[in-house]
Amino acid sequence: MNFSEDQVLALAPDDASRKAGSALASPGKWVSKGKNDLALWGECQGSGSKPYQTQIDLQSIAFKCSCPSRKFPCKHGIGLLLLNSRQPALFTDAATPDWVSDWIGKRQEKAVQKEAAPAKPVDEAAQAKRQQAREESIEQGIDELLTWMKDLVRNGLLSLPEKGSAFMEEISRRMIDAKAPGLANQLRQLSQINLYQEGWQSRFLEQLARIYLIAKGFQHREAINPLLKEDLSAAVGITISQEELKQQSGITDQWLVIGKQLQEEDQLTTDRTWLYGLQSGKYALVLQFMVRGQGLQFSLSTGMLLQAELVYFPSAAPLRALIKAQQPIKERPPIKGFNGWKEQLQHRANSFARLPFQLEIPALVHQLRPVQHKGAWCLQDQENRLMSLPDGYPALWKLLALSGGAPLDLAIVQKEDRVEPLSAFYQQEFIAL
Amino acid sequence: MNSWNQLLQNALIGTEKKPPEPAALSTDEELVPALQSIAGNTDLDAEEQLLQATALLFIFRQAGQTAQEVKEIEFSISEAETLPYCSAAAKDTLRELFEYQALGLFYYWIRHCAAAKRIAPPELVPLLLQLAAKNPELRDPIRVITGKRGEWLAQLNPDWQESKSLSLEESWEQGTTDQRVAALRQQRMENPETSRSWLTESWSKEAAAVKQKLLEAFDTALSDADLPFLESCLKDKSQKVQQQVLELIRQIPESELVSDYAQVVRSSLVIRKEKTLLGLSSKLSWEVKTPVEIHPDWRKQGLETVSNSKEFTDEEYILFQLLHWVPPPLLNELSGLGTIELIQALQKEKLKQWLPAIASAAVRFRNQDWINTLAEQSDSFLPVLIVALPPAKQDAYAKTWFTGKEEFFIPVFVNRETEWPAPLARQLMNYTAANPYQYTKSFYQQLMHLLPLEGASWLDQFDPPEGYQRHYWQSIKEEIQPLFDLKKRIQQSFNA
Repeated sequence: MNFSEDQVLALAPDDASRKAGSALASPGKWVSKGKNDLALWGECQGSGSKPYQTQIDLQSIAFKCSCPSRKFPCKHGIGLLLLNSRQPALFTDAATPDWVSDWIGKRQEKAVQKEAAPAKPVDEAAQAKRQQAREESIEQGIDELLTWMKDLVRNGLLSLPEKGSAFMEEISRRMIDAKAPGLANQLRQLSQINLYQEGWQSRFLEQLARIYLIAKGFQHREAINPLLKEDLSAAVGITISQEELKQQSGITDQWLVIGKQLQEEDQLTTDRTWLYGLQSGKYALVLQFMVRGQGLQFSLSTGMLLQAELVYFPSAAPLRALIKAQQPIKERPPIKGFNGWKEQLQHRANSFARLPFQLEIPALVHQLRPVQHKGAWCLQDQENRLMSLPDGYPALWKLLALSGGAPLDLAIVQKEDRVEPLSAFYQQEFIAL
Repeated sequence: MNSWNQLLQNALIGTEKKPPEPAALSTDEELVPALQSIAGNTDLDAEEQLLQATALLFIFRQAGQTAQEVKEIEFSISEAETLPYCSAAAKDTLRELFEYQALGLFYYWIRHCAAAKRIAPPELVPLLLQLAAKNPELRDPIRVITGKRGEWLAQLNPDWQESKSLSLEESWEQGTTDQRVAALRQQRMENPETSRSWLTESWSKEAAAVKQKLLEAFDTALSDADLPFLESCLKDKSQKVQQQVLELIRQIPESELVSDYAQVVRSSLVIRKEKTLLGLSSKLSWEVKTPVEIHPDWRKQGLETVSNSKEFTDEEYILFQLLHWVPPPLLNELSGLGTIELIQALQKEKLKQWLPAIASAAVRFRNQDWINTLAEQSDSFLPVLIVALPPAKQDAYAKTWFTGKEEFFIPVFVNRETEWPAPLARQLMNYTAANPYQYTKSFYQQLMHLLPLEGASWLDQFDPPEGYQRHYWQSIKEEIQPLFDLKKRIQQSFNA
């Protein structure tokens, strides 16, 4: 696959790597360079006596470099891929050096072994016992949480600003102790609401309602449908084995990367990649986690198209997924999204009917026009319906520049009553916003 | 009040003081049975009732969200572009430039784009407008290459308002001080009379600092027609304004002040070409007749009467200062000699100490003939001339004088608009590389548009004398090498 420069730069773990990678995208920096269908490789003269050997698996977009950098991909990987996107004709050497064929061979071998590997024997009785102990602990935590919530509404939310952040941090920590990190996270979001900003009261009550739904739902999980039960388990923080999940068959489709968001918290970066299946019409969210800019299993950027098998986490309204296997493809068939807000909101309502406490719902919506209405920026559909952009939406000017006041096809993610554009379809490609 | 707001009130005040009332939760018809059932359940306490009703309404609100329909929204559409967008390769180089923030290469990119009659791709227009807002000197060039989309965006963002094009009158009436100075300068070129009437009308309302800025525009198309206005400003309350006006008057040969200075020079300086004893050759006689009579006001205007140089007596020093303020052809008149002959004679007779004053006057009165002749004929270095020489003559002057006088040339050369000739650039970089703590990475970032591409191949050849300098130069070199590469790609992307 040929990556555009934008796509290559979007793979860099940080600004410094992006800049350093750009500086290395010059033919003079590379002692040797070559390419075939499987890999791209090059030797870059660094400060040491021996050049660094940089290689990229083009089938599943993975990087390897002999440099000592702990960043992933390193500047050499970015530089080499960038040079290939700028001047592909320079990569004339198709004879794979040993160090490249060794690595690619090992990767392929590993993939085969992984598929063929027999599942480890599981002590089901011990596992069930552990599971029961954890659920009891969570239930105790939920009892305390519900008491805390009742105290809160009995005394009134108006006194919250005086109580300070410690009030909510304490209950959040208690949920960690109760082995319910999902609830702790929901409470953290509650504590992040700015109590001095206009309209905090309604936002606070909405989040409180979401937590109440999860807590009560978990208490009554045996009486509800199995998929929603899985959602509730995930919401309180019970994870499922990704290896087991990968054993299941998924949905094979051409998946378009419609957006990418990076969230940083406590030195952990969460890479959130939004995908849309062109045949299935399904949306998916792939989460990958990096500590200090290191290691992403899949390097994806907005606009990329993959032939991939995705396995969804069990859910009443499946969204989060794992990529089981993937390879980039070039040709993109036409994309079918929603024709305006009415269709998109109907889709959202259906999704809520299945999973009432979900937070974000993605969508591709055709022909939306950014406009200003009563001082607020909105997206207007072809039937003159408006949805608001989030306050302080950072890519507003880029969106306006692409639109020029005319409608665009947009990939959006809706949270509460605001829609955040992730990418825009402009001149036959998806451009990250 | 709808049910949600009702519940919100209960939650804010607290159920202890304000428990939810079933009757108040009936505004959303579809939910009445469910809400009533919660409110009527006596097994639930008030808090549980509130939380259950809130959860129900939360789902109802989320799932039942609608988009507001607004029939008429007045929101403009950008006009269609009249020029094509630049190539994908050029777009990539521009995006890369924003990573490096090398201002010099922005000039280079923008100039190439404008010359190719292309415009920047829309997704990069906001970054360009932001760049223009921070760098006023880039506003006009960026306006050209951001096309109709740039104009349209600038109307929507107050921070970019200055980037949109204003007429001269609008800039003068509504613009910032810098915009007003630029408009005034432009108007002085096109219609000096209008520019004077603008200023005459507004003068009394301007603050002293603004007056000083506006007077800067007078270096364009200054003429005797400006004298009545300038002379009226000599009584301004601000001393700084008075001094600035005086300097301007001293540049107008027709002014009474300059003719008074010339009168004193005429009566105090005698220049004659005399035969030598044997009558075989001639020599220049330069005689200062004392006392040099000056107007009492001139001292107040800054004329020194005591020499601060051992080369001049007090009387000579007065004359030396006056020579700064009289047009150099006066010397032709007094000596009866041509310019070349006079300059050559001044050197032979060890009268070189007078040359800086004559050079300064040549520059002051923009006498290009005297400026060029002084640069070519004088064997003294006259730094004041550099800025007044045309680029080709600056290069020639640098060829003679650059070594050892680098600091006089560099400030002038950095303001060039076109690339430095390769030999000069090499000489200049050899000097800057030897002084890496003074000429850091940012120096090159600002000036990449002036450095020729072959400069990339010289970097390894520059070798600062001291170890610590070598080390620092090495790090600068690594930073600027990619800029040369980027510059080359910019050039290729527009030539392809």
